[in-house]
Amino acid sequence: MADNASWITPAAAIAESFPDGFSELRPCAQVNLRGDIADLAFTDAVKSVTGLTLPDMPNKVATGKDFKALWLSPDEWLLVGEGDAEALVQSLEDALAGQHVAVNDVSANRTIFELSGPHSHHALMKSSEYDFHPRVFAPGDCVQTLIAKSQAIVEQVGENMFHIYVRSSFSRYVGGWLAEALAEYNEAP
Amino acid sequence: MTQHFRTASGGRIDRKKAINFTFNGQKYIGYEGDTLASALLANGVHLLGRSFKYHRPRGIVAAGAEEPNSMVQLGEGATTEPNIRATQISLYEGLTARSVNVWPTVEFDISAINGLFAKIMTAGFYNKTFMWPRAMWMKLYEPVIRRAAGWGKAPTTGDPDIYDHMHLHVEVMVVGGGPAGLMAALAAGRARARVLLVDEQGEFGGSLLSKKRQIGAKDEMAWIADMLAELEAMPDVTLLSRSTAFGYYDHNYLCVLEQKTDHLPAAERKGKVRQRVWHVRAGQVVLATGAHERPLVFADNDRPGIMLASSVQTYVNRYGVLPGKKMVLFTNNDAAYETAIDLQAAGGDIVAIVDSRAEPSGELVEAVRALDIEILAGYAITGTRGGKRVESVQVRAIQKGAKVYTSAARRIDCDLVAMSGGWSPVVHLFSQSQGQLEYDEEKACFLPGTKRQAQQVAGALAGEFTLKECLAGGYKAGADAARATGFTPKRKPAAPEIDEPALGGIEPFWVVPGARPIGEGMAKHFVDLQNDTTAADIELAVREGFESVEHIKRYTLTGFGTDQGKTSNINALAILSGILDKPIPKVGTTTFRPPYTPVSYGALAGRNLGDWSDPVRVTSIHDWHVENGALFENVGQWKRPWYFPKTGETMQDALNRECLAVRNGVGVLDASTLGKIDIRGPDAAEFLNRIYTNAWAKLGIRRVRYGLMCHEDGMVFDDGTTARLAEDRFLMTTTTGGAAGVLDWLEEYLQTEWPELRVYCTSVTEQWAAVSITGPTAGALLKKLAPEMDLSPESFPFLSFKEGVVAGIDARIFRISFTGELTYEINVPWACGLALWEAVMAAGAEFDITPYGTESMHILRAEKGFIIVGQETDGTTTPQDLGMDWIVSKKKPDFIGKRSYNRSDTARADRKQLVGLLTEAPDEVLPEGAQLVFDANAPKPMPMMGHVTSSYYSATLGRSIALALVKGGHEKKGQKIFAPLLDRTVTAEIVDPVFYDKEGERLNG
Amino acid sequence: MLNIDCPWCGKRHETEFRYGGEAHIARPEDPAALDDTEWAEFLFMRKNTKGYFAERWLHNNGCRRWFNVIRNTVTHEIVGSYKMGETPPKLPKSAGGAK
Ligand SMILES: [Zn+2]
Repeated sequence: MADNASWITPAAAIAESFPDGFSELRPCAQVNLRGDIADLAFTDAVKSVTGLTLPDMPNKVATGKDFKALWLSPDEWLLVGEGDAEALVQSLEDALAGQHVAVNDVSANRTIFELSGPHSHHALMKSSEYDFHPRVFAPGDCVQTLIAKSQAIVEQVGENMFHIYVRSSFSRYVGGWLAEALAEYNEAP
Repeated sequence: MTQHFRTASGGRIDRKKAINFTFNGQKYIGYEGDTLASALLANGVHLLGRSFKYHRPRGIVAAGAEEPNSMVQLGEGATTEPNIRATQISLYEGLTARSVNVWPTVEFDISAINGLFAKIMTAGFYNKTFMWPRAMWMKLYEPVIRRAAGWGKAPTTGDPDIYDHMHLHVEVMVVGGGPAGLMAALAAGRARARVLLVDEQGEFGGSLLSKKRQIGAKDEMAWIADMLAELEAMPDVTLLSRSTAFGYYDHNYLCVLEQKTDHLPAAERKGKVRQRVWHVRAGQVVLATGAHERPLVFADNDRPGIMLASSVQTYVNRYGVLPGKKMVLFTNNDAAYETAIDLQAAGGDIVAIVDSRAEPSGELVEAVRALDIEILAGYAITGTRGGKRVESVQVRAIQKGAKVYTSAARRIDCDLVAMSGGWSPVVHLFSQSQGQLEYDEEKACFLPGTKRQAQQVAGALAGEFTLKECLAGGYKAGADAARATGFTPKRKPAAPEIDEPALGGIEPFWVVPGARPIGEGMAKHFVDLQNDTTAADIELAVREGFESVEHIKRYTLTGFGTDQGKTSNINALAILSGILDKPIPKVGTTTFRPPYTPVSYGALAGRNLGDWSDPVRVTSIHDWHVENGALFENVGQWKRPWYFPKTGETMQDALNRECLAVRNGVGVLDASTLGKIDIRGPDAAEFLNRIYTNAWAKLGIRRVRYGLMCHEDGMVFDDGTTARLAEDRFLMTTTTGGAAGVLDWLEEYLQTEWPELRVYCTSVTEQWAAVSITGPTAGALLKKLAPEMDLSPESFPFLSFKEGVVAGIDARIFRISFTGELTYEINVPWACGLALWEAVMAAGAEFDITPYGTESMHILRAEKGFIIVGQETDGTTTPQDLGMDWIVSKKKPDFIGKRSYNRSDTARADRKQLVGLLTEAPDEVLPEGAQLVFDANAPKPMPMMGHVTSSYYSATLGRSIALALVKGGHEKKGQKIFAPLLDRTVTAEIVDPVFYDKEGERLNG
Repeated sequence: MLNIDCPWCGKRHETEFRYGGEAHIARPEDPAALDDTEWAEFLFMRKNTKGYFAERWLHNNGCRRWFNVIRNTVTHEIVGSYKMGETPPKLPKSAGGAK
């Protein structure tokens, strides 16, 4: 596999226009996992490989040492980490051999933006109909929703810090949109 | 000019801050805190425009959103806005405004001659007069009407301002920042609910801004300030002033227009968001929208200087303006008496109070009597005089219920008439939320009845017309709303002592009689000032057979326009009720629809313009295409290279070059946009068997097959190739535009029809970039890029794939073909797409590799007779219609679409079927979409037998080719068919749709 | 704009969903056994109810689950949503809104 570091997404070309508090993360390992959460053989095998107990609560994130798991649907999770996606896929395939599962390397499928700072909520309010108020959405939560008119996964990784996962083909659209949403706050002295 | 009509002191204006502005070219001075209307009145300007139909002089009637007249053209150039009400414009330094609907000037208006034809310009005038002849409409009527009846003018250049949208979720949203709304917000805020309070004005306080009231130990201003201080200190309470809730939609979804910079001088607006639309989802909504005062309907009640009583009070108390110095008050209730008291206190003179009630009584009435003001009880104004300003009124004693007056008139000179016909609660938002209205006889108004959404009503909207009721009702509504959303309200604060006059009753008085019954005389009793609708128009509409209030509205135009009949709707339907002799509730109201007040297109669009109007999806190779001169085509949301013209080439030149390169050498296409779905599970093959029309169980591993997908009705909706990665795993490709729809479709069947199938689908569209190299030398090129790979047909046959390293990148290579040539589609991780593409271009240089776009792709596939879903199909096309019976399994017991193939309709012999067309003249390229006929001389309308679906000039064949859907086409090969065009008829021969390499000999290079 | 309760994700705005038409129309077990009229009944005929109506929605911008919703087609009131295969919630007593 080619070195992730040389990967280019369409958002990279407009990165110079990104204001403080907004950036595209460098590529990382993303693996899409599907299986039956009620099946101990499945959850045990996943745990043995990743150390993670997959979240069964909708829209929650479980965080382990190397990887975290984002709930995407009742039988689907996105594993995200700095490690080697290919190696993770292989270990999962080995541990899950014979089970009805789906494991896909989707590291290139989506790119991840990081949005942080005091105006991150405003940028989200301008871009999404979802309620990101701290009373409702907190670190450890993730949600699949729309950012402008693009599908996205939004994960809160810390106070006023969000990771926004979008399909790579939408990355220039979403990146440009969010950068412009923040412009109002950056121009003010 | 100086402000002759300013009061000596008082008002919420800052007399130290003078503001220069221009109206109709004349320079004036106002103060900070003024509206354009109050500043004009302070300068003695009452004549603001001309009326819609009769071009009668019109002035300011109200002080807020209910204003029917006083529309101006605000600003100049690109930011000019038409038809803004002067009562809603905050004054700012350098403001310029002009009257609308005047020609050439407001003082001398030629169209006022319409007034002389008034008798014929009654209800339905435009409908009746301008029906025919049509030519006259185009040449004469429309241009004349446009000049005479057009209001303001739209800007002719693009809007340079910035607009955006914000989404907000709260437990309690309060609409209206008057006393009730402030109390509601306080109650909900103290309960710790998230609260949004919006008010359309620049200042919170609502009616308290216009009246003097002592609330406990505080005056009204101190009370408002304390309320705001407490609300502002609450972290989860949002206060938005200059913000109008204009739409109330399903499930407590409301839209609010916040005017952020419209009150600022131009220099201070730069770079800022001008207007923001807040999209709010609220758990509970408290409507505290207040009430609008109703005018009284009497003869010539439209002259400048005739105003709503409460608005006069607002101008006096809030803006420090005397709208007139000699006032007559005309009322049917005693709340309006307070205006007389306040105007007199501010230095005005009250000439008389004309009260339609025979025996007015109560605290306010007594207070007025104590001031020695004459009260004419049981009287009405029966006429007015004055050119551009009211100069006198004619009053008469009126017998209750009389249709005509009989008593003698008395003339009273005045320069201001304040009128009050009672109050109409602002039920607009409540009604938009599907709430039902109920008529309250005692209060003579419609009040909110049965509600349909999670909401509370409070204040004047709920018929609470005293401040005491408003404060209590507001707090209760806020507390109830908080409780309903799971919060515990704090104990209700003790009710403060409030100093306000006790109110007596109101006696409805819907229309003042004339010398002759309404509809017979010449007098104009205006009901809707903005649309120039009179009581006689309503009478006429009924006489002509209209009875439904909705029909009357449309026939007479009552309630249309920028004010949406805020002052006229209730009067109109009360008058209608009188004419029909039906009680008001039986007549019903018209439907209230968003927006409550006008909203600019810019605000509605927000940032969804230009680049943001729809997502633009690009591949990882996109920028290379841009740099190399590609023109682009939109395919779904994707930008795909259309063709790559070289300097000096026409489009056809470029296409010819690209196509010939593929046929004779090698071409390269960015195929990354195709949808890709990973399908996995023990039942994956069975699932594909049911989804596709052909058989999948026996497809070998590492083999690829083309499939058609149909809906249950048998109609084709997507196609693509699918590869078997393993016994239990497939990789499906879909059309570029169909990817999301196909995934939904697969999930629908897995989740709803066949949950027993053990299959998982995962979208991997952007995991893979795809670079397709095609042409006789594609093999040699790939050999160079992947020297280790065995490309022999035995090892790598058509419709199979291999995994290996291409240009140093791990890749999956598919041998499929959409051109008919030897083709390798190389898939690499998406973000490596550009690296691969550049490697292919570099290695391909020696083969003169040619990038091509979708247009050449279309030509190449059409030469081979391959369909494009959505071009050769339109949702009514079966595989059989396409001549693709070969892909429809006869053995599988069932698959989606199968049962429909022997429905009588799909089995018809005369269905439109796919054929090729060759024009008689080889250079003639038929237009796509051209209709086809068998008999070129048939009388019109000709029986249409089909249409052209694809049509190109083929450089490969040196002539034009076309694909078409033709009725019974499969049996008509060799026959002539005609395309009658605007200027000529093209003759073509029906042929087989495969034009090139019928035997498929070129597939192996 | 409707606020739709996804049985998994909770209440979300309508823009996250795709409408899926009338619920509880099962694909016939053996389409070949149906005559043209019966097949047409399955293909084309829908109730178009005025009032409470069971319909399918797909949370296509969220968890991608199909589920059912009982909605009043006159007032847009949503009584509840339920997963595929679950029993529909009880309807309110009044036929509701159909006036
Ligand atoms: Zn969901």
